[in-house]
Amino acid sequence: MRERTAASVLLVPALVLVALVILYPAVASIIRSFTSDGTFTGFANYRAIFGDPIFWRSFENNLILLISVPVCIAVALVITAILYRGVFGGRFYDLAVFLPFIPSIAAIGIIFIYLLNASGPLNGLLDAIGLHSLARGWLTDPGVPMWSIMAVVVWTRVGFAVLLFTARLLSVDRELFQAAFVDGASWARTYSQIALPQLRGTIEFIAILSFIEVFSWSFAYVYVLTQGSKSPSNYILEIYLYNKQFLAYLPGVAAAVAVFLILLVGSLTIVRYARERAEIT
Amino acid sequence: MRARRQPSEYVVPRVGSRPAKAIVWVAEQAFMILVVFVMLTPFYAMVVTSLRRSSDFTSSLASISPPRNPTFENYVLAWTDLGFSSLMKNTVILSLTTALVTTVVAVIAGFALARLRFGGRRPILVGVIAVMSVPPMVVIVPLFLGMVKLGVINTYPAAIVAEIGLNIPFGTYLIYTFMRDIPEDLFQAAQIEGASVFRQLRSVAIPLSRPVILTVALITAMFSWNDLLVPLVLWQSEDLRVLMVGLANLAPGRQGGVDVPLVMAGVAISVVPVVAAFLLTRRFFVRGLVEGALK
Repeated sequence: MRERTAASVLLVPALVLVALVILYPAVASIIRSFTSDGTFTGFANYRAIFGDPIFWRSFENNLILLISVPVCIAVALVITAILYRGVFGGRFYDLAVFLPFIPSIAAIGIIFIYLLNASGPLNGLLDAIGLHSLARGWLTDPGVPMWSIMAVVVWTRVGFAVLLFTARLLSVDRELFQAAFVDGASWARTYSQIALPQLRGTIEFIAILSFIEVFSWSFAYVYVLTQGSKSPSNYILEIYLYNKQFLAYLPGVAAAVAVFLILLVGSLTIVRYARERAEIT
Repeated sequence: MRARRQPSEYVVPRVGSRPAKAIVWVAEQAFMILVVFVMLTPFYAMVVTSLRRSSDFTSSLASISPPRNPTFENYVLAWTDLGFSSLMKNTVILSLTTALVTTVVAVIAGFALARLRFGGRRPILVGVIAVMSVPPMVVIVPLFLGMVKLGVINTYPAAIVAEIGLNIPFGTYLIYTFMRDIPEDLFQAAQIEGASVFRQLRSVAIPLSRPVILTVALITAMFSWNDLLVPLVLWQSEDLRVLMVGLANLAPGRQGGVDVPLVMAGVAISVVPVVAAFLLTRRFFVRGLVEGALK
């Protein structure tokens, strides 16, 4: 059988499913964003969302979540430096750091709701060590929840970054590091001057992936940790979309938000693809 | 967690004076212990609280200490009264079906993209990578509307098909990157003997790709087990709830009017299978993730 025909046969299931589940909805959203109740209304929905302060508040909250990216990368770099050099208990630390990445966000969210409760263990701990002034309603005080959620995001994702960094370093020729030691350099020097440049590509990869995740994959975090998100001050764009569709029954408006998200994430993907092409050439 | 490595491969010589080395060593240990403490405390809290009698529970720091009379009653209650048995059933159906179908589809598609020559190869590859970053929320809403119109909402296929569709791009990409690296001569040997494309797939590509195929199955099973969004929107009827949706509805109230140990038992039921699966297959899992990311 000719390769071309065989290829078509083998690809059909994947293409059909992806077209059905991803492409059709994307196109449907674009079309629907220009309608309201089935009638064509041009850019009305877009004007509605861009003029809505809650929309912008949601976007701001996404930006707060975005801070998790540099924090996560920075913490991961430090942990990698310690683990790579070799520390007693390294294997166990490896596992412990990666474990938060495994369970579902919903499950983790529930645990943290309990831990971060205003009268819960975290505040109890702060009290016990004399930092009572730091205790607060981590998921309830106005303005605070988004930052707590950001911290939970970091907690979940650090392990993944450590994993990738370590894998990358392990694939680097060790003699690179040993040459530095022969010259008497400290690990800190060696790490920053030799290891970090090697990690640059991986850092970029994680950065862009995490950027996309903040806008595309954060629904569960916020939905669970704010328990359905009753207060608009805790919305993110995904939740804003969800509410427009399922609470306000405004499919056209929801679709406009969807298109905005597609364009936003799409441009990040293009950036990522362009960077990868540039790296190869 | 990675390929077996010798201790010496990991350890890099320490330079500096004795006292300086000692201080650094202590600092490193202290830092890592703090990190591990932060990473593991939530799991510990979950387990400890789930084993505590509801009547013994008070929401405070003390609740983290091991219970004096541990009990499994919360687990039993969660299974029966809270309906976790039904939640588990639906989750297993969703997770395993998705993993099975996705893996099969991804293997044949990945093979085609990696080893066959045909016109639309480039664009399809780009397309696969592109759709991977489409926000699920964007996709699920139109799917919901379409399925309602077709009357298939709240049927088993509804969420399963969606979950499969969302997982195919990543799975295909993983298989593609792996199969791409299989040496050409292994296929040529088969071609010389007149093997058809499908024969090559079955006798050469698949046997050699067992690790990555397992990884795709595992990762897909895990993603779909853990997923909240798809079943939340597409399986809205009472009898089609999955574990995650059940949990989301159970969130302990901020005023604490909910039975926390009971909820924690529910959380544990949802989390233990995935963690256990991970611990048993760590090597595959980790290698698969790393290869998917670093290639």
